[in-house]
Parts: sequence; structure tokens; C-alpha cells
Amino acid sequence: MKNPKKAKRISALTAVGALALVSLAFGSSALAADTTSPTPTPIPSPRPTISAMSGNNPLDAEVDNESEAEAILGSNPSSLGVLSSEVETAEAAEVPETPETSETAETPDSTSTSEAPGTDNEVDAVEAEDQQEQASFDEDINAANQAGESEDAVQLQEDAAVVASVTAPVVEAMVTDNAQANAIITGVPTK
Amino acid sequence: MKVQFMRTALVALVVGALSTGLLVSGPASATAGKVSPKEKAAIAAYAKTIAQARAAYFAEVKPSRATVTSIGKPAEITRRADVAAALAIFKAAVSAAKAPSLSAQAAYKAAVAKSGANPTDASLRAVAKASLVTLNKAAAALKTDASVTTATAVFDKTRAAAMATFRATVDSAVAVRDATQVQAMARFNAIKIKALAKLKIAVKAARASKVAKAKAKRAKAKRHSTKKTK
Repeated sequence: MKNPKKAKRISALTAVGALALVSLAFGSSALAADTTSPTPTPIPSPRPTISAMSGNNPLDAEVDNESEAEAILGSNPSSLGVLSSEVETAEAAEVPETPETSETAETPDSTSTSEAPGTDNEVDAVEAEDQQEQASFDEDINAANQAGESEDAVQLQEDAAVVASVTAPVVEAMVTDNAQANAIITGVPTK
Repeated sequence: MKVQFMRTALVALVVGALSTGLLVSGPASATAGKVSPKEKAAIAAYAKTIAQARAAYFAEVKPSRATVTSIGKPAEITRRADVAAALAIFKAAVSAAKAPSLSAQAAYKAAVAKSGANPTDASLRAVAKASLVTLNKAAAALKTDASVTTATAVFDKTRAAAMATFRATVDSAVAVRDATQVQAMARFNAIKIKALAKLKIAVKAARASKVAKAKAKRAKAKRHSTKKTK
């Protein structure tokens, strides 16, 4: 290098180029690392803990409602993730699943109509019998219609209605009573 | 020359960083979604309060619910047994009342089938028509059958009495349970309202502090870079 000015310029340009390359590499690696960090924390679905504890009593729904807290934290999705994990941690610490809790949680289910003796099965039996009778009448009505005996079909429909009307109100009343009694025991409002 | 070189190098660095997004997606923006320790502490405090309130709520409501269940379950078993017995009597009465209609219908079905198998036979068709008339008469009789009316009335009376007995058995326990429920929920809600208000204030303060810190950091960095270039 005879020209020291030119040599300096070349070395300067080389240095600048090297710096640019280094910064490029650093920038891209930071970017690559960065793409993983801002991944939003998935917002967990509502926890089933309270409903499981209370035996799915809708009266307890308010106790499990965190929509107001979520509204306060709403602008930051990460907060919701923190909220959920904090609530779970706090609940695990503060609400131990005592035998009494799980026992009472199971109780409403054990009083469900399916386990109680008789009546629901009786209702089903009466309904099944009625359905069988009505199906038999339907067969006759269809046959009459197909044979072009529309007047006969109308009469058969009336007869079928009379036969059905004998037990239908009784079945309806029993179903209502059973639902009401079950609601009284489980504490679920009927209205 | 040295200053010129430094300037060029700095520009190259900035261009390189910008072109790859380092400054755009730098540490400040990368942490924007993270929850600050202060906010986390506020959430933890809220969660603890709510968990305690929940525990208190269930501790309050569960005994009265259990009482209703322990009284209600046997009462319901008795009620259903009474209704089932009444239903058996009702069914026996109704089956007897329905029998003429159902047998008339069976006869009609058979006559129609015979007539269908021999469509040219007018006598078979007449038999089918006659059996329909019999069925209509039987259905009309069933409609006004006094035995059905009586059986229905007896069943309804037994059913209502069974329900009344059931209610009388559980009513006082249910009243206690429902009142306890209302009280417990009111207590829980009062705690929740306070906790939410606290959370709101704490989160607002934590976020404001976070923003102020970030602003100060940026200003400091800016001052630092300006000094260097000078």
C-alpha cells in the first residue's frame, strides 16, 4: 500500500462491513429468539373445581365466576394466565378436598331420579306401553290412508287420541313431581 | 478520520440492527406481555382472598345441604314408593277400561289384513268396516268411562298427598339451607367486591410503575447515546 490515505479508507470500509455483518447476525439471532418469547400465554378455560366440589349446583356458579377479574386484567393476556395459575395455587392451598366435601358433592347425584326406587321406571313403563299402543294405531292409520280410506283414518286417529288420553295426564304429573322433588333435594331452583 | 469512522460504524450498526428487527422487537417490546412482579403479587393476593372466600362459602353452605339430602333422600324414596303403589292400582283399572278398545283395534287390524289379502272380497271389507265401528264405540265408551275417572282421581289424590308429605318432611331443612345459601353468597360477594376493587387499584399502579420505569430507561439510553455521538 503506497497510498496511506487509500489504505485507511479500505481498512475503514472493511471495519464497517464487518460491523454491519456482526450486527446483522446479532440482530437476526435476537429476532429469532424474540419470536419465541412473545408467544401469548394461552388463556386457560374456566376451572371445573368449584362445580365439582358443589355437585354442579348452579347456585354456586357465582363463586366460580372470574369474569370481573378477567375484565380488570383484560388488556394483558399474560395476566390472565397468571390469574388462573395463582387462583389454582391458592385454591389448592386453601380449599382442601376433605372427605366431607367430596361426600356432599356426590350426594345430589345419588338422589337423582334414576337411582330412586320405582317411579321413574314406572313412568317409563307406562310411556312405553302407550307408545306401543300408539304405534299400532299409527300402522292402522297409515294403512287406511294408503288404501284411500281417509275417513277411516280420521276415525282411527280419534280413537288413538282417546286411548292415549287415559294415561297421558298421569304420566305428565308424575314426571313433574319427580323433577320438583329432585330439585328440592338438590337445591336447584325449579323456576 | 477517527470520528468519521466511528460515525460510519454506528450508522452501520443501527442499520444492521434495524434491518433485522433487533430494535423493533427488542427487550422492551418483548417483555410488554409479561406480568410485572407487582402485578403478579396483586393477582396472587386477589386469588388468595377469593380462595379463602370460596372455602368459607362452601363451609357455610355444605352442612345445610347435607341435612336436606339426609332428610330428603329417604322422604323421596317413601314418596316414590307411595306413588308407585298408587300407579299400580291406576294401571290395573285403566287396563281393564282400555281392554275393549284395544281388543276392538286388534280385531280391526286383523280384518283389514284379511281384506287386504283378498281385495275383491266385499264381505271381508264389510267385516273390516264393522270392526271399525266397534272400535269407535269402544273408544267413545272409554272416553266417558267412570272407572277411569275414578282411578285417575284416586291416583291424583295419592300423588298429591305423597308430595305434600315429602314437602312437609323437608320444608324446614330446605328453608334453613336456602337462607344459609343467600347469606353465604352475600358474604362471598361482599369479599369479592372488595378484592376486585383492590386488584383493580393494584394492577393499575403496577402497570403505571412499569410504564414509568420503561420510560425512564428509554430516556437514560437516549441520553447515553447522545453523549457518545458527541
